[in-house]
Amino acid sequence: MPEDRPPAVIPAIRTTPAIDRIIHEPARYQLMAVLYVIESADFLFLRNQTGMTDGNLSSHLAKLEKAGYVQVKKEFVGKKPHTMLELTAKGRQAFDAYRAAMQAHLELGS
Amino acid sequence: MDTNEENDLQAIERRAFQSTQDDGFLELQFGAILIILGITAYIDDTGIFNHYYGYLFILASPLIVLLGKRYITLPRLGRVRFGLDRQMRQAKMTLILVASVLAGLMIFILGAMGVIPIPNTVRPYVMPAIIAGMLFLTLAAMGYFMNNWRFVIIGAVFAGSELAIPILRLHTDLVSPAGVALTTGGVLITIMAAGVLARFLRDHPRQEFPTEAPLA
Repeated sequence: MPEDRPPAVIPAIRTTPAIDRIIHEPARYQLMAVLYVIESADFLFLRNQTGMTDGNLSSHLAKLEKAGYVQVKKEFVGKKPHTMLELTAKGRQAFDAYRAAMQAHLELGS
Repeated sequence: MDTNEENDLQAIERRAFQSTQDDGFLELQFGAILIILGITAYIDDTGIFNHYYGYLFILASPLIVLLGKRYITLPRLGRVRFGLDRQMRQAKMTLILVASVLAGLMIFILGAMGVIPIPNTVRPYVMPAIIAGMLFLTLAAMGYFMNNWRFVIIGAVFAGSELAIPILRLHTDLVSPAGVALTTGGVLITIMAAGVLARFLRDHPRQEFPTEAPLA
């Protein structure tokens, strides 16, 4: 029962926005941050910027794509197909919300 | 988003953009331009043949960047498209470059026509000093907009080479002071650019297999 729950040490924590667990993972946050500041990039560029291995990067990108934060765009460069990755509008909003939530939580402790 | 958060994202964007400039090809182009100017000046001073053909090579110098980026940088670094802010910054840089070239041409023409009154005692130094100042400011501004501090060094070398010409002409017996000054400056820039490129190649080895790993 909610009434049996012990009072929060900081009551305001109940009203603080929840942390998005998808973005909260450090590697995914780093990926989201890079994608947030650019328009789009391919897998190789993201790998160079983040320093992740191919498998690690692929796994994190898949989770972000499943969450609807990242979208894959197939393009042609000359005659060769090329895959570019970019944040979706939902992804940008989620990133902004995540940063605001983290800021709110950090301010609670100060 | 407060100022600190904005600065963090700006730093990430700046680092991402700087990584695309760390191949040294733009620096190589400017080194080549200065070398071509030096060789052209030497040809002019020695009268070997008509030096105007040399300037055609300057028009071809952007090929260094185009081909280098396409065949060396992109396969190692990957592709990226930057946002509107960065595109606007690049556009401002281009405008500054164009305005500077036009202003330099105007000053050169007005000086040659004698419209700008310059005492004869300082005439050999004034025009080179003006040109050197404009070169340094233009290239330093390029470095600012491109977040590439090496362009401040390139600007200093360009300015130094330009200032060295009247000094060498008045105080040495060189056949082609301009040839020596400009070529030396170009070689210095090219050596720096080659070092940048070597570091880039070491840090970004060519991939044996395509890295477009399919998403899981």
